[in-house]
Amino acid sequence: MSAQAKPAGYASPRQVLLGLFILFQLAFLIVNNFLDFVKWAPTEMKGESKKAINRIVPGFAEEQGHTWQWAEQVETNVRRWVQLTGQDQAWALFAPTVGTSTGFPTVVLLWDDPADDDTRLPGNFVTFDERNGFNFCGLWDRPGETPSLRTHGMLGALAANSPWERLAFEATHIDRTAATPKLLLSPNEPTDISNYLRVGNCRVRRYDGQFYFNPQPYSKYDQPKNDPEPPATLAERMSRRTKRLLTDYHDPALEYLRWRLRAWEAENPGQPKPKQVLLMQRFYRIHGPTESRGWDGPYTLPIARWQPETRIVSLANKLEPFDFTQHRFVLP
Amino acid sequence: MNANPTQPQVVGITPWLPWPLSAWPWWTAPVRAERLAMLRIGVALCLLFDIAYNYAPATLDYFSKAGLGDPTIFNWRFNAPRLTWSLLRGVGDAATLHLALAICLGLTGWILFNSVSRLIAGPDDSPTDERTGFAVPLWTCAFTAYILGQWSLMLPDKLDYLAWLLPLIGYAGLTTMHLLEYANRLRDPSYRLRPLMMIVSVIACSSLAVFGQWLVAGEPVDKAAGWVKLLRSWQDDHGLTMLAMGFWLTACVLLLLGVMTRFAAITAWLLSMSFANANPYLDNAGDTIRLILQLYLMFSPCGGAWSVDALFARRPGPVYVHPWPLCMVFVQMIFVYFMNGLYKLFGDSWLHGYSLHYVLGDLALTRFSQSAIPLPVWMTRIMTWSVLIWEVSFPVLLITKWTRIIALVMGVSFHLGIFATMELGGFVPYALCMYLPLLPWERLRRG
Repeated sequence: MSAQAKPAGYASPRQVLLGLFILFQLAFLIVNNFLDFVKWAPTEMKGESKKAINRIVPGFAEEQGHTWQWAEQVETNVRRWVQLTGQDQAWALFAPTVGTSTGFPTVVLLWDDPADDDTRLPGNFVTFDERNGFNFCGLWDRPGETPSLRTHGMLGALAANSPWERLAFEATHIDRTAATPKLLLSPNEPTDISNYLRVGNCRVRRYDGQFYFNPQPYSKYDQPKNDPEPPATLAERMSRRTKRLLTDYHDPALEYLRWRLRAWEAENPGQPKPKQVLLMQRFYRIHGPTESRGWDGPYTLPIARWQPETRIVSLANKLEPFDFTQHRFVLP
Repeated sequence: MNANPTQPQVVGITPWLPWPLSAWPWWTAPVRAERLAMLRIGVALCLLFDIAYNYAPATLDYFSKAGLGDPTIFNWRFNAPRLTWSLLRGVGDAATLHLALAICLGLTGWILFNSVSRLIAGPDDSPTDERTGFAVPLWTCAFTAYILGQWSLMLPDKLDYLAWLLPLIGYAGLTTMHLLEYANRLRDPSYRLRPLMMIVSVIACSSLAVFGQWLVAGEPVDKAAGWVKLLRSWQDDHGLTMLAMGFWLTACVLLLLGVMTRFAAITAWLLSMSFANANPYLDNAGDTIRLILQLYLMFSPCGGAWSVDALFARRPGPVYVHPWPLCMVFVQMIFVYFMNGLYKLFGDSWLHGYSLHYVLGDLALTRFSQSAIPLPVWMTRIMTWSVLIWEVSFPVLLITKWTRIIALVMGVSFHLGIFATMELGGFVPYALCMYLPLLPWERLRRG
């Protein structure tokens, strides 16, 4: 360097550092966004497209090979930067597809003591249709929705053939009404789905939206090639789904139930503590563009049960998932 | 910085950029500081409203122990090798402790590198001294957090010799760094020292060492003492959770007004990240946009105009800033729309044009019932395809001036439409903040 060389031409370490930060950020944006897409896209491809990908980059569509492994390594490192700086690049609002159904978690409070030898859901009957799947009608149903068990009890009494039968039907009805379940709708569920205005509460919706899953059976309505899914197959699939939900979200679901129970207790001081707290889902199917405008539902489905005063001694999990094949809550 | 009142003044560091960025005026030509200031004001206003309306009223429900954000729910997110962190979990949380140590070591290397290289090169062969002097305060904060974290880990049992030895090592390191700074000053009389920061950092380090020695030699620590609670998770204590929320609100107010803007921007980002990570199930993509915007604000001279700081600086002429933060926000915006469009191309409902029919029928998201304003299917199909085409072609539309204007106007309309029909929290306001620097706010400035 000659003596005449002016230091003004040098970039200072801070300038270089800032420049490197900018370059790094640009590289991060490109790599993170496209890498996620490139890794995801083959999963949506079928047949020839997938074969072509595998020929161009051997094994990539099967999530194997050098390029896939390298991509995994890069993604892991990029994810650390995302975690450090909060720049998650998952830009897929209503993409790649949108839901044709929607739903809300619902909490049901029961004061019945579950029998030791029978962990079935108390007092309900189940309906099934090939488009919307199961619906658990029970004492928790709101007026005007599906006919409740109470209504069925009353109708049963009318249909009795003898005074003894009528007495038996009414006894069942009286027994059920002795401990009327309490249905707590999600703070986000409109009480009138044809007329509401929603302002705020988006944070709770984000939280309780974690517990939603689509309970519709596979049917020809979604894909004309689909065979209708039999109830037994759907029941097995739904049972697996509730178990997985509790594997992934056990603690948030438990805290959600505790939170709802605390809020109810604060609003209803002096009430006895419920013996069972059920996490359920009220699901609505949005009518398609070729149907009349509106929704099917709500269809109520059990997800899990929490017994606040009972400890499941041998296990860390306090929530029991619902098994749709047995129609009962099962030990986790 | 130019002192001539007739000349425009450029605030902030000029980044070193390689070709082709260095030859591209979009990346290099300074822009009016009002544009960056408006980004700051927009983000701060939205965040302030978001906190006051959505977070603060339910602080304990969302973030404290035995609430929806009970720390035990999210313990897995803070385990190694993940880098997720939250100051709310306390300085003793493993992620925070290790990050504090990493920042401390990184800054030590940075400060030493600067001082030693300047000392070796001499004043004639060194670049202009344009430091803000933020490295030493940051080092002090990170080091203090690390030491407090160490104490918090020791406190369940007994504090041992490391409680005073670690601060002492830090003190020695800091003294070395300051001595090198003095050596530079002796060599180059124009070299700026920051005596106040140096004194504060030395006092902080020595106090930690003395206090550590006192803790080890003195009476056993009362584990219920107030200062001990400060070292633990702030989510365990309702008062401290509320206090953290208060700090977050205060930082936003300072950022909005531009009081100690850099400090406010850093604090607001740290607390935004801390609350977001303390309960990630509450946030959506809008909150991610907010964190990204806050990240760029933190690194940029966003208090250069329309701020209390600017009032005190009394710069006579128009103030300019380097355009890189605004460029980065714009690049981010391109990715937001383009990637959305790319993913949508794989969805049958988008290709068939039925997506918006279903979206507007979603009872969980919509602001009002689909029955109230029944849009015909042909209209929702046109809207669906318009969104798809606009998103996929967004980068191309930006190439020429008129298509760029159309693309951006459509973007604003798209967000306003979402805001009118859907309750997505802060998504729309934060997304619209990305558009703020594109408007010529400097025209509002009198004279």
